[in-house]
Amino acid sequence: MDSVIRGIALYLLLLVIIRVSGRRTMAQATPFDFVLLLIVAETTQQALLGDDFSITNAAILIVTLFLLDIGLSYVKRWSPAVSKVIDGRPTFLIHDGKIDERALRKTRMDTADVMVAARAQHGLERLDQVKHAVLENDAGITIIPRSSG
Amino acid sequence: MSSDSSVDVDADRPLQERHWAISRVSWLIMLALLLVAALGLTGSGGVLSRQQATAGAAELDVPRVSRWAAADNLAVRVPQDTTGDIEITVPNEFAEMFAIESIAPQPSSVSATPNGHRYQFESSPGPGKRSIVFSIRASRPSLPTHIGRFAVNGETTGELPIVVLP
Repeated sequence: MDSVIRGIALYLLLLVIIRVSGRRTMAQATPFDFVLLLIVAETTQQALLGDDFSITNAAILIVTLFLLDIGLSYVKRWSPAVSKVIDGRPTFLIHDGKIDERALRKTRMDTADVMVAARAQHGLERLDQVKHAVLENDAGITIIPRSSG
Repeated sequence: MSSDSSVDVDADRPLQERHWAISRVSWLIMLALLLVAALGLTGSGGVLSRQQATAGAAELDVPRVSRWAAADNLAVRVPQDTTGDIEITVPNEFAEMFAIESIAPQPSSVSATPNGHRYQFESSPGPGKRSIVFSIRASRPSLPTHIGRFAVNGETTGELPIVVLP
């Protein structure tokens, strides 16, 4: 039973911490962020397993985590409100060419981050060529350019 | 579905504003947790993680906050003016909550009594302070609870509160 409780507790803890840490974390991942991710994974693994390295414990934990994930995906499907809370919704960083400074500040981004996505996705050269910039749920920035001509 | 006629994006600004506010509050809670941990209220070091008790002339250093399945220790310092064995009784409640993994030095005998486990240690002749360290590990989480009274050479401590975090 301990394994199931550990699995559920850590799943929920990680879900909450990653949600409140903000989407910038993954969008602007630096090499150090990946190292941090590895440390978090290692720490979580020790808390999950404790001193029980048996296959039984591993199997119970894996099943617990997968079932939680499957269950949560159904809950999100049935309840859009829960889905909104857990996954969030896309956020406009630039809307109709107008820069949303508050959204940029709150998501700990700047226009340089938007331009990185604009160059990568559409080869845009200037910020005024961006019509919409949207911070998606998966922490990526989607650029919709102004139509030319 | 769309918040804007020109682009079909399911944005929800009020929800986003609430999320930003909740995130900032959560960061403050995380900061508070760090401060609480630095003070020792989450165990494993820090000024408030341990408590000192006396049983006659003996001093005991007992964890106040411990962690489930984490190594900890209980130290007993006994000033011994005369030759004789040292007798330490660990209360039953404590013995049920913590596994005693090792003791340095090793006791010469251990017996179960109604008051707890009684450990007897041989002591060398000559005055001076003896130190006995129990390496312990919490076997289950526990809310704040009293774990009974320790006894050293017949003198007892007060009731000691202890909490074991999951």
